[in-house]
Amino acid sequence: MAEVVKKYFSWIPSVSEDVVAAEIYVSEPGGNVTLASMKWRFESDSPQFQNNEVTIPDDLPGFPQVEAIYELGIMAIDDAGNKADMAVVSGPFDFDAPAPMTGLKLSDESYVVS
Amino acid sequence: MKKRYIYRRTCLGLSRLICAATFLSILLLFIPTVVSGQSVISSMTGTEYIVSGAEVTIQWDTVSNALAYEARLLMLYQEPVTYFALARIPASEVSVTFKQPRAGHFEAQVRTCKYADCHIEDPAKPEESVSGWSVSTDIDVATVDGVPMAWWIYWRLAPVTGPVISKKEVGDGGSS
Repeated sequence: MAEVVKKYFSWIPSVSEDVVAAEIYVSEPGGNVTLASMKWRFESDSPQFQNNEVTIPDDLPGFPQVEAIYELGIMAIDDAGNKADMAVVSGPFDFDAPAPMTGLKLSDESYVVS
Repeated sequence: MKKRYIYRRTCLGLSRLICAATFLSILLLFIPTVVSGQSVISSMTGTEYIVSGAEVTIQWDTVSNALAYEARLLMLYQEPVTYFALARIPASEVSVTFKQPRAGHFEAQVRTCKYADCHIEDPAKPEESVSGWSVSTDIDVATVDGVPMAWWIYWRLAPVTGPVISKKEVGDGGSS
């Protein structure tokens, strides 16, 4: 059974009282995040919003599988649609477990029990 | 630092041109405390003050026969119409400082009162006891740096802070 190392993206929420959602953006591999980047939205009643944390890739379906350094951004949105400045952080991501080893065998001579 | 943006002016503010019918001498000025950044807003010509700080101060010209002023903020692009921070100012003062009511775009409005309490519901006082509202998006009464120009305020939404990426090994049961 292979194992991948999941990652957690967490943040300190906006102090504004009118925030109703958060949008999370991810850059292209090795690039910078922009408003045109791939994004996911979490409403205020979602556990991710309430816990200020998402699990990657579980909570971000379609998150890039290419091993690379990605930039992640998060933006608060209020009930009038105003968007706060984006908070950004970057880090390496690799959700592809290494290929399993093959060709396993026992050496006839080494393991003969007399 | 403030940014000035010139955009196409359409309907916004036109309906308010009738304001200041009684006291056209009011000129709105604006002294922002913390202004930076930029934002996009359409359909108006003027200056957008993008404010990150908590307070802004607006000023206006003295009206000779005023006994008081009233000032308020109108949130733009918001339905239903929502006003914030109504303030009553004695005639001896010609400015008021507003704390951030919330994030969003706001137009400042000021009117003159012939009664110190600005009370117009009293049937004994004529409706003319207050002026129309002079609004900051009306180029006929608003100025920026002494130049006739519409202006409005954009209070930024407080950002999320301190994002971090952490990891924890979890068996996923199948990736290879």
